[in-house]
Amino acid sequence: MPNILVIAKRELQSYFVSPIAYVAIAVYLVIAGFIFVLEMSGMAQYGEPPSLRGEFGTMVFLLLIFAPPLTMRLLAEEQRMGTLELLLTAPVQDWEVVLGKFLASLGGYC
Amino acid sequence: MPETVPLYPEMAVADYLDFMAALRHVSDRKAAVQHAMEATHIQDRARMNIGKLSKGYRQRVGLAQALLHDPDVLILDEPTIGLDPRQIIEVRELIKSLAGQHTILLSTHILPEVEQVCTRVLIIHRGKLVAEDTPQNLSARLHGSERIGLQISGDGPALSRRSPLCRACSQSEAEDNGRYQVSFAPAKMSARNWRPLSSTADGDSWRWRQSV
Repeated sequence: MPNILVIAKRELQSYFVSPIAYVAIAVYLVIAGFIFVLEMSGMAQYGEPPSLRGEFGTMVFLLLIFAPPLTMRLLAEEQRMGTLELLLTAPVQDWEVVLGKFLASLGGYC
Repeated sequence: MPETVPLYPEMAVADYLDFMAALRHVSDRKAAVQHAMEATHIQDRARMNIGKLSKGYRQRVGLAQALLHDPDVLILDEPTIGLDPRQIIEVRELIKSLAGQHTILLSTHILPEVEQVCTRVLIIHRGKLVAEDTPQNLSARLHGSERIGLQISGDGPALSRRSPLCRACSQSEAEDNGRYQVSFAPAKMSARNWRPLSSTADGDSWRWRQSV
């Protein structure tokens, strides 16, 4: 397995060991769903053709809020635990570590 | 392996080892993980989260991690620090059992550990190599360089020049309130000088304060 995928897999697994990931997902879905219902019912009320433009706008805004908690500890936590040493001394390129972590958080978000 | 073992506390032992094996491009990961766990006696904790292990077990997981890719040289920095006596013995036994298959470089300031575990010792002081030998030879060489210190009152340098002990007396140092710190190398003293140390001192009107 390529190094990037190994790192991404581990990172993604570590997202889901704590309940915080599930709470974050639930909160995100509730907010997005609430806005969706609000918009749809509003459009139906005024007889406008249904459109998802407002919903997607909201989701982009939610990304602003949810991206930092997902990404902020990716490298800082490794540094704190001393495990960064482990990654950097393994026969892995630095960019592979970074890209692996990026993929994991991207996957975590999607 | 550094002093604080780098581990992911949220991972299970076997998963962590598998991850490290994958990073190091070990060809047969399953066998490598199994072998490393057997060598460090942690098979029974394979499914446990690392965060829940005791410090001794964590140390062993770290060692297992270092063994995964079967390195020629294993560098251990104070591997027994912070462990309880039983765990220390276990880790030392483990290190001894690894000798022969791997060259182990052990860095520690615990000298009994060196005596027990090592076959060759290098002593580094302020970045310079000051001694290199087997532990037995080193301690044999150190023998004979012990010193005896005495604290006396009176004119130390004059007294030690007059005394038959002066040949053995290598240094005298003035302290405040008229006392002197004199030190001897017993290896340089003949038996004749050595036996009546106290009487000689009395004869030369040294007043002993204490030996240090």
